[in-house]
Amino acid sequence: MRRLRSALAVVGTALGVVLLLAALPWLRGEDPAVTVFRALYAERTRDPAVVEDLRRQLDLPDGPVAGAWQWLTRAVRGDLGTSWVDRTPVAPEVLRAVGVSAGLAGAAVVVALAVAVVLLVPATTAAVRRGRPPGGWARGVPTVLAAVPEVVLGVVLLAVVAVQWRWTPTSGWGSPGQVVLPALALGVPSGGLLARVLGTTVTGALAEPWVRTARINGAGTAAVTRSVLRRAVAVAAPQVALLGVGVLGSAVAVEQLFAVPGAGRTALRAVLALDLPLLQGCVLALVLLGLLVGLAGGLTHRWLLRGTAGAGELPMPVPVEARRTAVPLLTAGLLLAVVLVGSLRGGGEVVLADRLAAPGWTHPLGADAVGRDVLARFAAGALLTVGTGAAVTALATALALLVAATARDTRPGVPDVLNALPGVLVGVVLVAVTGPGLVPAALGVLAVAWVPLAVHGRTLVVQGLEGAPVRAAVLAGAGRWVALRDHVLPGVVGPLARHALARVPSVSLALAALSFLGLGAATDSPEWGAMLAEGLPYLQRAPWVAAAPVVGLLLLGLVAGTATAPRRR
Amino acid sequence: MIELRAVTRTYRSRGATVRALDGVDLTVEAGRNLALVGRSGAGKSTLLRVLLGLEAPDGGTVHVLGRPVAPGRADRLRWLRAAVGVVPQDAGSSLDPRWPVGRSVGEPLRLLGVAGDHPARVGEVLTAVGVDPSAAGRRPAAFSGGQRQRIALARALVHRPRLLVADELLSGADAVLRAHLLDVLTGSGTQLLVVTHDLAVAAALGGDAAVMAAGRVVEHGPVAQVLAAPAAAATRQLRDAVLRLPA
Repeated sequence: MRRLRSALAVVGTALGVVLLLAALPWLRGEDPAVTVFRALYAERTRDPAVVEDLRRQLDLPDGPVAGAWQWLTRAVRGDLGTSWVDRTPVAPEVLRAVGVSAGLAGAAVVVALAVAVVLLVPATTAAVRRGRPPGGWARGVPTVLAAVPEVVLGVVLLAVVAVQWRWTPTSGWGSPGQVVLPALALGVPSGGLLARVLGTTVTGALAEPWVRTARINGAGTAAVTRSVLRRAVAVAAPQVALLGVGVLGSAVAVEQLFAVPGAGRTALRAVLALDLPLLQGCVLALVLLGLLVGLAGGLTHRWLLRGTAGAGELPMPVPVEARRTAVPLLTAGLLLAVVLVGSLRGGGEVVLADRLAAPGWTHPLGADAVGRDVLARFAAGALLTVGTGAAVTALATALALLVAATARDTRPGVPDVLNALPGVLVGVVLVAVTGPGLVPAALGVLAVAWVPLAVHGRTLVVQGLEGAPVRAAVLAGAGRWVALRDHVLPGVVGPLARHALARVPSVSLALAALSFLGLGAATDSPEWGAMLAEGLPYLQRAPWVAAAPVVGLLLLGLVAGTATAPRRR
Repeated sequence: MIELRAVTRTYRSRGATVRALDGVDLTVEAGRNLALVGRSGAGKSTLLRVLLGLEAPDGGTVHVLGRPVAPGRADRLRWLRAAVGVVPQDAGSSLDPRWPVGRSVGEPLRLLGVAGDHPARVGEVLTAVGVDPSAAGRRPAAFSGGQRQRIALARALVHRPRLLVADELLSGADAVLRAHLLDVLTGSGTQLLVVTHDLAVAAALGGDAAVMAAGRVVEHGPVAQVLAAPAAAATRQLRDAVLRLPA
């Protein structure tokens, strides 16, 4: 019964996502033919005859139902329709773009694995030898690497390696040199994250009783290290798959930055050109890729744990670190101080005489392309970036609490499907429906930001409901709701709020990524993502324009990476 | 007081079916203590879950105080909760770690809407189990395991139930605590249903003993009679396993 409900929820959600995608051209609330007209002729006055002509030429069905049906039936046969802009078939274009993305992802995976192996294997060997969990550097380095936002690393690599040293081309795709920088930008943070997640599970595996038994019975360091790593990889496989999904999302921004013609950049181009069939094709391909990665993670998990009793029922570990350091507080404090100083400097008026002025007394962080004070804009942007992030996180937490409170077991449900969708991708699709703006971007991020909180909350609620106090309360006359209110929720709200607080920076980063892509805050806005995009053309002449948001986002990433969520009591 | 007729309950796990209750008939008269004895896996806990309306039997009928018992909404079972106080198996951890123990002990009074001075009653029942009522404001972590068991017992007694059900309350307790808990139980003036795998406990309680094995009640009668002339093999096994000090 419960298994059936879980399966229904999963299939239903997946079907819902596909149906929404299929009906995308109709979700804008206007006739798709009119959308095509605008895509082709921009602001020209609408000519009904031309619109009807377009409808006939493109064979546009009458309504969302017919449209979704047509798209689905054709997609099953490998026909993704024709582009609204250049009238070429979409499928080959998507296939070519996905090929490029897969190449980039493959190179990034190699980088990530190399980084993870270098960080993890020596640390694990040492830990096995000493019989203590890895600490210090083995924890710190992965955390810091994982905290670097991909785009930000990309911008830094671009500025230093390509622009300053001229070692590699700045953009494009095809030659080996063009692969290096985007692969590093995507791979290094993922490698750090991989090492961090595996490091946590290694610590868990080291604490398991069999390790001591094996040592006492004379098993060598190498043998135990191998077993511990195998165990850690097995437990972490589903989480690693989720990291893969995250990389798919970050790839959109990195492809855009390095002008790599992959699926992400193609999807972005399609949104901005209102070429919705092309967008549908790219998103479908990316979602399928995400599901494939998730499936691979699940299968690896089962395969590595084969033969272990009840392996299928192992609870999914909650991806939070149980370690407190002063780093997030200090970093947040530093950011706050800069923002306070900056906000005392006024609104950052346009002073054309100060165009691209270098940092100095008048402009401590320099001036941008129209002579606005970078520090003042940085401060104003902090409020926009982090404030919106905080608002989105608060909404996400409320939503998560609601979902968690109705959970009865930890079987997969709606959140687990949505977990397989990268937030940036959801934002891209939402913006295709509503048009760019901070609010749609925030809604897109919200659509997935609540998911990890809900999964965490669900685990806590189910644990609480199975706990002895609830059973005792039921025997004393409490109903489900009363027991939930009295004994479960008080224990959920605290950890969930701390978890949410730790997620504000990463939510802000997702928003900044969308703004960087031109889908969120207006290009003129001081929002950090938008500021970063604005600074890119001046990377050679005035690197300080991009430097402020780069440092800001880096610090934000550091807070996100080191902020801790609940410590077990 | 309690009447079970031909109660069956099977669990299915990984294709195998387990008959936890295999046609249980059990009548407990009002006022007579009962020790439900059996080895682990004999079906004692399942019997309790069915009896307390936590689980529906696959077959048979369950009556308490003449009323049928079936799982359902909390308000439909309020009469059963008022009539039966339960000390759960994990008694010590059944107290909410976030709550002062006094609040936990008073919870049944609140949930069942019992009239009267709740704090006074909580103090009274804490004293009865041997816990200083002035410590009612502390959280469970401030108490030892034995004290927590006493507090859990107080909570089961606080609303003056007609029947007190204790599931393995005495198994984890050290010998001295066990003797004290037995005193409190027998001195509470409430009819007792104690689940145990130790026939010695049954003997100490007096009243009746019902022995379970493989999902059935294999023997039921006055405890002295059961001990003196055990009819079932399971009973003999349990009797011979009781540890005795050399005379």
